[in-house]
Formats: sequence, C-alpha cells, structure tokens
Amino acid sequence: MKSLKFLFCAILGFSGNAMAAGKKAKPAVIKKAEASQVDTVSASTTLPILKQGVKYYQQGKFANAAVSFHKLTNLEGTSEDTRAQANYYLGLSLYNLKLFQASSYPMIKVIRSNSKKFRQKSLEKLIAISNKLGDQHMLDFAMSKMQVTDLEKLAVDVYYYKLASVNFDKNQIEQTIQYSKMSIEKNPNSEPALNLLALAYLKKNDTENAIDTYNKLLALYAQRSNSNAKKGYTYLNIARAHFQAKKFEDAAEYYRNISKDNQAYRESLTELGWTYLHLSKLRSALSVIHTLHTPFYENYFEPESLVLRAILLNYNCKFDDAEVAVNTFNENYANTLDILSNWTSQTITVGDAINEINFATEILRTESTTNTEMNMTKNYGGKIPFKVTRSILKDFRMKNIYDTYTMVREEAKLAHKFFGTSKTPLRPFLEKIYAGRLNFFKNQLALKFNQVILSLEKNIMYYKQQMKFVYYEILEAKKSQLRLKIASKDAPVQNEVYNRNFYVKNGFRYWPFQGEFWIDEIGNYQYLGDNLCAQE
Amino acid sequence: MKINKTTIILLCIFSFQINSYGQTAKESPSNIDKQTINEIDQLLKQNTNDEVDTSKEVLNRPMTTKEIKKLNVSDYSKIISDTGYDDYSIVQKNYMPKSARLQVKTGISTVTNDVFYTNIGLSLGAIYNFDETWGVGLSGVLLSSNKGSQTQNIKDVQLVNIENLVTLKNAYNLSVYFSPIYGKWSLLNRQIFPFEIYFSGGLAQVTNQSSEMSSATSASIGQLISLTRSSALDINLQWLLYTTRNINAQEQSNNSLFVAVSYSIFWPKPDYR
Repeated sequence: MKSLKFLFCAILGFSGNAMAAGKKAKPAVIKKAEASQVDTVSASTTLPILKQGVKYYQQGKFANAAVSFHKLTNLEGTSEDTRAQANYYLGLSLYNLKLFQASSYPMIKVIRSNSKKFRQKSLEKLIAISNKLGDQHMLDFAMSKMQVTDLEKLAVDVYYYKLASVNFDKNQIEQTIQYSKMSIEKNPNSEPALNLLALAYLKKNDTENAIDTYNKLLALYAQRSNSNAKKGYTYLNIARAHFQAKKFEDAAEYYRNISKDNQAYRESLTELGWTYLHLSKLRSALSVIHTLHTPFYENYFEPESLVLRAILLNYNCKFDDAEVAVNTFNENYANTLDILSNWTSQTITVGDAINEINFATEILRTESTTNTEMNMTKNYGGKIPFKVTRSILKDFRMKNIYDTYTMVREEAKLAHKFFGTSKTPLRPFLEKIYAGRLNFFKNQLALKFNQVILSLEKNIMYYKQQMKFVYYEILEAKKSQLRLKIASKDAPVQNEVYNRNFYVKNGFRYWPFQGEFWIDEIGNYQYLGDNLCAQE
Repeated sequence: MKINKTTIILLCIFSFQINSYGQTAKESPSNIDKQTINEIDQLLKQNTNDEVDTSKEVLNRPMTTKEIKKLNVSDYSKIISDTGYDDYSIVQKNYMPKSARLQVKTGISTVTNDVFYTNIGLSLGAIYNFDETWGVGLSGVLLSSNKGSQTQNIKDVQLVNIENLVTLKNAYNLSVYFSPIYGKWSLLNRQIFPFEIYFSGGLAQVTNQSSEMSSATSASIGQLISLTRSSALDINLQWLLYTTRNINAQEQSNNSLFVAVSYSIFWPKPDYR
C-alpha cells in the first residue's frame, strides 16, 4: 500500500511538471478551455470567489484576498459590475499591501469601465496613489477623468491646483493665480498651491504678493525645526523674492535665517554673496563665499561661487588672489566641461545614465552614516564626476522622477516577497506591471539625466565665458592700479589689528585662520582683508 | 521492474521541484492581464513620447578614468594657501558661554603628595562667572584618609608613632577664577570639544585629622571641557599651602596637591542663539 502511495505522488509530480512545461506549447488547448469557461461562468461561479476574497480582506489577509479578486477579474463572461467590483477590491488589497503602483492598474481599469458604483471610489483612491508615488502622469489621468459631479466629494483643492499647474506650464499666469487662489480657498494649508501662487506672482513681477504668500507658507512650518528642508527652502524663496524686488537688505536677512544644518544652506551662500555685492559689502560677500571653498563642500558643483570670488577680490584690488580663483576655476571645471560635452555629443544608453545615477546614489546613501566618503569618491566608478552627478540628482527635473522610481523599485521587491513563490496568475500580472513601470521610469530618468547634463554644460560654458571677462577685468584693473600707485606713491597698506577681546566679550570665539579646516567653523569665516585699491 | 522506495521519494521531490521551477520561469500573465497592462502603460506614458535611443553604444571618451576621478572633488587648496591667511579669521558663537552664569560642580578629589596616607574624597564647588574671563567661587573638599601600607608597616613593625603626621580632613576655599586660554579638541575627527584653561587663587581653611583648623593659601590650574552648552568636565590641579598643628601641638608647615575631576552644570541656559 505504501508503495502505491509513493507511486501516486510521483505521477502527480510528473503530471504537474508536464502541465507547466506544456503551457506554451499547446495554446490552442488552453484557449478552448477558456472558451468553454465563458459559457459556463455564472453567478454561482463568481459569488463564492468574491465571498472568499471579501472574507480574506476582512480578516486582513490582503495577499490572499488579492489572489481571489484577481482570479475573478480574469474570468471571462462575468458581468461588468462584478468585474469592476473585483478590480476595485484587487486594487484595495494591493494598496493595503503597500503595492501602490500595482494597485493603480485595477483602479484605472475600473475608472475606464462603465461601472458607476466603483468608478468614483477608484478615482479617489487613484489620486491618493498618485500622491503617494508622486506620479504626475497618473494624477493627470485621474484629473482628466474627473467630472463636475465628482468635485463635491473628491479633493477639490487638488483639482484646482492641477488646473493652476497646467496653466503655469502654459505660461498663463493670470489663470494660474486664479486657480491657485481657488485651491487655497478650499484648503488654506495647501503647500503646493501656496508655492505655485507665489511663483506665479514672481513671474508676474508682483514681488509684494509673492512675499506675502511665501510668508503664509512659512507660517505653516513655524513649529518645524530649523533643519527642516521645506522651511529652509521657503526662507530661500522669500530671500529670492526680496532680491527680485531689489530689497537687498531684506534679502540678506532672510538668507541668513537659513540654518547651517539645512539642505538649503549651501545654495543660499552664493546668492547671499551676490546680495552683499549689491549692497557693496565686499568683505561680507567674501566671508560667505569662503565657506563654499572649504573641504566640506569640495564635492559639490560650485562654479558660480568661484566666479563671484574672483569678481569680489578684483573689486578689492587683490589681483593675485583673484587670479588664483580664476586658475582654480579652470583646473576644476575646464575638464568637467570636456567630459560633459563628450557625454552630450554622443548617444548615451539608458544603462549608461542609470549607472551614473547608481554610482552617485550609492555614495550619497552612505554619506551620512560613514566617514569614508573621500575614499569612496576616489574609487568612484562613474564617468561623470561625482560632484556633477550629485547636483544632477538634486535638479527638480530629476528629483521627482527619481523618487518615484526608487519607490516603485522597492515596491517591486515587496511584491516579489509577497508573491515571488506564488503559482497564481497574480504573480506574472504583478511582475509585468513592475517590469514595465521600472523600464519606463529608467527611460525617463535617463532622458532627464541627459537634459540636465545639457543644461549644466551650458551653465559651465557661460561661467567659463564670464571668467574670461573677469580675467580681462583683472588685467585691466592691475594696469590702472599700477599707474595710480606710481602717480600717488601713497598706496594703502594693510595694517589693521583686530582685538580678539572684543569678540570674546560678546559671546564669540575668535580664531586666526591658518588654512586648516574644522567642521564647526563652517559659515563662520570672516574676511578681514582691506581694500587695496588706490584712489585717484 | 522493482522500484526502490527511496528512489521514488527522490523522484517525487525532484519532479515537484522541476514543476515549480518550470512554472516560475515560463509563466506569463493571462491575455486579459496583458491587455490591461498594455492599455494602462500607454495611458501613463502620455506626453512622454521622447524616449532615449538605446540602440547605440557609447563611444570611448578621450579622458582617462584617472583624470575624471580627479575631478570628483574640487581642489581648493590653492585658494586657501595663496590667499593671505591674515585676510581670514573665524568668529564663531561661543559654544558654552559662561558670562553671568552660575557653575555648580561635584566630583572626586585626591591628594597626590601625601606619602603616608591615601586621601580620597568628595569635591564640591560653586562659581559665579561675571564674564568669560573672570569669576569668583567657593569650593570644598571632604576627604577620607587611610594609612598607606608603608605607614602601617612603620607603626606595626618599627613601632614608630605616626599620629603626629599631618594629613587633611577637609578644605574650603574662596577663590578668584581667571580664564585666559581657550581652544578645542578634536576626537578622532568625529567630535569637537571646546575647552578653556583657567587659573584660580585665593584663601582657604583646612582641617586636619586632629580637627585642628588653620588658614591656607590656594592656587590652582584647571581645564573646563564643554560637553554641552550647559555642562562641562572640569579637571583641576590645586595646591594648598598651610601651617597646622599635629597631635603633639607642634606647628608644621605643609602643602597638599589635589587632583579633582568634576562634572559641572551651568545655570541659567544661555538666552541667545
């Protein structure tokens, strides 16, 4: 008897194997079977599956529920309402498993169906999914399917914001302002709408209203810590608005409000330098710029700060130092320009671009946890310098799509964890979705990567040209200063002595700078050099 | 043909494995699923027609990898070295300001120059800092003394009376604090600790083991290492010079050198920054 059991087992195994192997080989047979299923499917077939799925769902067994609902969506001959219901619950089950990208597919299927019952719910969910993933295309689709009747129940502020956003892209500023205001009316705390409204005002050169709007946004972040990126960037934007309004004192005040541990801090330094230049505070400008030229920021893309440094030193008649700034620019960025020009002049594969992104993100991932950044940078495998790629990743064109790509990539791993060994048709369904989406996002990433490189290349070319002008100015100024000095014989001499007691008594520490770098000194450099220009 | 049991089990397991591998490798979505995915893929790709040409390979670039690696980081060394050092200074907010703050400290103290007794005890103190440089404070040391092994040996074996040797029971002093030096330590390039070196001098009252009290002169040098904006580690070396009477009522000039390690708390919190 025992021998018989083993034999049965062996036969079962072989037959399963044969079925798996033969699936592709005999499509006609499968089609025939499916066709016969169409005729036989009825409520008595679908109801138990649906009930089973709902039971699993209620028990919180979302993976099992997803399998049941997916089975139902594949049964031909089921009514459209039942199919829509199954798709909706399949989407919900996947959503609860945090497989947001996959959950969007059944939801879209329902939205496109004629089922009124589940269409609206699916639209709501799809907006939530697109917000979670930051997928603009998905949000576009959801918005395009919205009707006036949906507005009462769906997120109206998001709808108006979307309309404002579309108008902004078309450069229709008045409409952008109108729709942004409508969005803010519905939801006064809508951060993206406030941001867009302020941006529209700036485009219109209505800096006063832009500043008011940014201040409202800043009020929303009042309770957040100073290191909060959104808070930092709002300060930065207010400062920029003041700069645009030519209120340089106010601009400088807002730039200085950005805390040193905020992401926006580095970006604010060059802009604060320009602001001080407008205020003729050359020493302050040079103080600010020096922070960017310490080892702390050596792997950031900072050509503009070198141009500004050269200009400022030239204004101070520190010609030798200004020339050093020019030479440093050439040493650091002339070759970078060659690399980028080469990159843009050739056809780059998606794989090439993704490799560059991966090399840089690997270093950025470990940057906060290890101190080995320098070593890693030396062994860097990318073909574009790390400092350039990290700037590309922060570019607004790249950032959103990269964030979505990362989320979807993690979801794909999660889906594999849930269904990787499953023998149900849901597994290939999910695999195809994730393979397709990841491929799409990679393609988009590569495309944006190349676009940003192109603009960076133009950027460096522009600064290179500016540096040539500055160098010319340095030579001219050198000549005229020499003439003046020979004529006047009273050239200014730098002999100011600074009493450190003044600083110590006022709650500060004063350190002489001897070329060394201490991390706690970031942002505390003070330029004390005199203006050596001889007056006529 | 006779089939062995083990063979069948193995065959059974093997065949199931092949079965599952076969399914994993060759299964594809159903036609309905394929149609759904393709349709929605197209929907989500709207307005993104521009795709990267993946058909061509990248040509070799003229720059070598070594050259490119060099550009991963910017080299500002020339800027820093060529710019006159005198042109730059660093002015940063004091991490732990002391001005108008009360410092309360407690720690362990020991006398290092008493060869006959081992003295260890509690060190307490309160200092009011007028500004970053000057302060005035009261401090005290409560000691517990044990005879050293040599002392015990002298008494037990050589029967020499050691009770007339002077050792301290406690000391209290009023001092003026002067902090002229500051600096910072770097701990393995990971953490930076600001420190100050201070000097103090004043008058003290000491009590010896015979409860004889006498006045003393005190001088000390110490280092205050800031741990937070309101706490610090205090390492102090204090010298007391005094004349006291022993058990035989003999006047004896003496000096004691204390080493104390204390934990200091500053109050109130700094109100700026």
